[in-house]
Amino acid sequence: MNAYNTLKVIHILSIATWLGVDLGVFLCSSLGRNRSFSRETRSEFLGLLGKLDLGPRVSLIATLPLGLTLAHLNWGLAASFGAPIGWLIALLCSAWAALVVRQHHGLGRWAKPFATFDAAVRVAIAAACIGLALISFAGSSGGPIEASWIRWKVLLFGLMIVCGLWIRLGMRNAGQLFGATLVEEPTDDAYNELDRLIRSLYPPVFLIWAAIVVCVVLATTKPM
Amino acid sequence: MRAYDLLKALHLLLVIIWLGTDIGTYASFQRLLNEKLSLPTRLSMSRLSDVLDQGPRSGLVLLLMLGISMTYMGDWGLRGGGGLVLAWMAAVVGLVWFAGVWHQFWVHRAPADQPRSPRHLSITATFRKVDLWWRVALAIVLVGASIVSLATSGDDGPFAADWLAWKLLVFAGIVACGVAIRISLPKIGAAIGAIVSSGSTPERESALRAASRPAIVAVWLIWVFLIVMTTLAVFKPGL
Repeated sequence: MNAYNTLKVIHILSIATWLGVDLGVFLCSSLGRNRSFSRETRSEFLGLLGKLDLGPRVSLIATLPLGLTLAHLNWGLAASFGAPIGWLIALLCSAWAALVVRQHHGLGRWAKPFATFDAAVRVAIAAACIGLALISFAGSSGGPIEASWIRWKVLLFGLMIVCGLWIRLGMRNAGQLFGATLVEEPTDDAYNELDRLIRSLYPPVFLIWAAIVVCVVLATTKPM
Repeated sequence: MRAYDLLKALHLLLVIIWLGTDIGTYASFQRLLNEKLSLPTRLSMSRLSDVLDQGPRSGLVLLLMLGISMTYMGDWGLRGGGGLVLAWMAAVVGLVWFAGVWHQFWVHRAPADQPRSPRHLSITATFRKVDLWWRVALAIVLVGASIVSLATSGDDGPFAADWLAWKLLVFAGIVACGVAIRISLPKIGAAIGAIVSSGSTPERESALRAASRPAIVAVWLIWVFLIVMTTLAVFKPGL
């Protein structure tokens, strides 16, 4: 029970460094586009955004082994997620999180291969989570996840990853657009295009926040 | 779904928002202290820090309010006849306090060339004084109630569960840290004012860093206390 509770505390803290810090990321993205600020100020806001964004990015990865282990320890996740596989997933996720942090500081020639690998891993995890949840909902004998509220959480986690991929896809030209607003005399068009892009990504951001809130409510109330 | 469970979810979300936005507040404040940046950039960072700081400020007020209601509803304490009255009183006082915190923010956020009316300025000035002494009184009451609860057993103290008494003792530590931050703020403001009006010099930057140090230590302590409180709430030792 102590291991379960310890992991639960870490799980709660990782949601704080995800949702809470993401509010700061959101504000920085807005201030980094504010035309009334100097180039240096906007650039600093974007630098801060990059640093703070590590919180949500690492937290999402940490949630996976934490959630799986918690579900295995106390909530009847099928025994196939027992200790050896649990440790392997934790180890792989730690390496993945370390690479994400390293990516922030620059990966040089490995940047593009890692971005492709990272996206592929996310697609696979999203598909696995959504699939696992749906099989559990459909299964007459309960499926791999017994507790209904955990099925919903796993489904929402998969959808959050999909939203993250949506943001990533939308942001593929963001560096260029931010760069265009950080030149000596940026044009109105550069600002407008950047504004359009960032606004178009509000829906997945808000969906992730809503999904986290629902997950917290599900975890606390444990309905059904 | 019980009302208690919903309050618990809200309670948890408030901790999440408090700790998370506080990390953003801290990171932006560090850039305010960065003398390599231009003054306008540093002051803009201060603006961001102020906005994010509303997370912890609101979190503290609402958490206490919810915590008292949950103590009563979950039968964790306040079992005497006055429990329900106290829970309602906490809700009313909490909402007034919460409104005061946001009013103060709204007054401070006014553009320099369009300050709020004298009435609002006066309300904020009064609120700031009341808020400081209220926090001191609250910390003392929480420490007293927690110690009485830990020293007695069961229904004799205000809180029946020891883990809850410990949690409130730690919460009193957070309130005390908040008071320490508030005491530091005028000194930090004066140090920033000196840099704005007379320019950055190593001495003035050093004065700003020195004025900020107690507040930074208090923030670190608040984070530790929040983690301890979360741990106590999850483990519920002694139960």
